Amino acid sequence: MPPTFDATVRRAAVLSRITDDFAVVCATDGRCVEMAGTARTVWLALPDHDQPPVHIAALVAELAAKHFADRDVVAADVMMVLSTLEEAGCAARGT
Amino acid sequence: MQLAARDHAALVAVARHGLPGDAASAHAPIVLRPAEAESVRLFVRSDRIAGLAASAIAAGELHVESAELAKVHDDWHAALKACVIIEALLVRLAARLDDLSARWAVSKGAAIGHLDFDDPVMRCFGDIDVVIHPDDWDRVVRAFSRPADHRRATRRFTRLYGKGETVSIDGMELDLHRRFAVGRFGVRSVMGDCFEHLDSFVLAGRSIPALDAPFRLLHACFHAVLGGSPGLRAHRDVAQIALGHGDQTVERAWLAADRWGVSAVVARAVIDTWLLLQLRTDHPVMQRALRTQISDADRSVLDLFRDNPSFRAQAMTAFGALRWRDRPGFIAAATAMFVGGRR
Repeated sequence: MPPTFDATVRRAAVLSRITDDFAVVCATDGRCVEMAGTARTVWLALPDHDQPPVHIAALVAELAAKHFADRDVVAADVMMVLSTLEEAGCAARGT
Repeated sequence: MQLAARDHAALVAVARHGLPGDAASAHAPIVLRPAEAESVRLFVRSDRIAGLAASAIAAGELHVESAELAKVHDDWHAALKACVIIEALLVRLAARLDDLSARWAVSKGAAIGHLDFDDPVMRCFGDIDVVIHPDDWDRVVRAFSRPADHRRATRRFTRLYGKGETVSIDGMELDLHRRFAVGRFGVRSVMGDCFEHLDSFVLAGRSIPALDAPFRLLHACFHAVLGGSPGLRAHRDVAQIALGHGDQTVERAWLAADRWGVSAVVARAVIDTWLLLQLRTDHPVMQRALRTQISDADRSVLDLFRDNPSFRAQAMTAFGALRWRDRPGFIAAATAMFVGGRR
C-alpha cells in the first residue's frame, strides 16, 4: 500500500498511558485509540509535536529491519495505524 | 469461587507493592489459589489497583495462573483508557475554569497519578476531584449549574457546611469540592490554606494546578477515614504520599491538620493504613500518629463515619464542632435542606 502522506508527529493536545504491552492515547475531545504490538511500537516511534516529524519510509524501514518483516506488510500496518491516529486527532501530518 | 475480603493477603501485597521508602518490609511471595483468584481480581478491579497487581505479579510477589494474569491486564488496560478519557474531560474543564478566572486545583486521582507515582499508569482513577477556592465557589457552581438544578437550600448548606457538588460537563459528572468532607472535620477546614502553594502537572500541553503534597496527603487522609468505603487504593494513597516526599511534607500536613483541628483524621488514616498494609509500625510516620491525642468526641465521629452512615448523620456531626453562635444558623440551613427533601 503506497503511503498517503510522508511524515507525521504526535499532536500536542493528547493524553496517553503506555505500559510494556499496551498504549492508549486520547484527544482532548475524548476520541481514543488503544494499541498493542506494532501499533504501540509505531506510537512510541512518533516524535512529539515540537520535534521534527518522522518520515514514514524511514519508520517502515526501521520497523521492517527490527522485526525481520516484509517491508510492504509493515508499510500497510504503519499506514493503517497512522490513519487511525490521525482520524482520532492524536497524530498530524508533518512536512 | 471463594469470596475474599479486602484484608486478603494477596490484596494487601498488591496495595503495598512498590511503596517508596523502607516502611514495607520484605514478605514471602503469595501464591493465589485458583478458587480465590476471581474474587481477589474483582476487588483489584473495583479498587482500581490492577496496575499494581500486574506489577506485583511481574515482580514475583504474587503468583497467579496465566489466565488470571491476562484478565488482570485486561482490567488494567480498561482502567487506563478510562483515565485518559477523564483527563480529556479535565483539560476541557480547565479551559472553562480558567475562563472564569477561578482559583482551583485538582486533588486525588490524576494529581496523585502524575505527582506522587513515578509512572501514572500505576494510579488509576474513575472520576475528577477539583477543589475550588472558597471565594470563587458561588461563581463556579453557578457557571456549571443548569437552571433546573436550582436547589437553593442544598446549595446554601453546601457553601456553608458541605463537602461539594457534583456537576455535569459534556454528559460526564465530576466532583467540585468546597471541603474535603462533610461534618465535624469538614467544617473545621480552612480551605483557602490549600491555595497558598500549588503544584502543577501538564496534560495535553496545558498546565493543570494541583494541591501541593501536604494538602494532597491531608485530602487522602480525609478520604481514607471519612469517605465511606474507600477501598485499598485510598490507603495506598496515604502511604504513597506520606512515604514518597520526605519528612518535610508529612510535617507540613501535620501542621495544617493541627491548625484546622483535624489531627485525629490524619492519625486515624495513618494508623488504619499502616495496619491494613502491614507496614513497619516503628516507622516515624506511624509513631507520630500513635502519639496523637484523639479526644473522645473526635473518636466517636471517626467511628461513626467508619460505619458509612447516612448523609444526614454525617452532616449533623458538624453541630458539635461549631461555635455556639453559629449553631442556630447551622440548624436552620440543615432543616431547610432536609425538610425540603433533597437528601
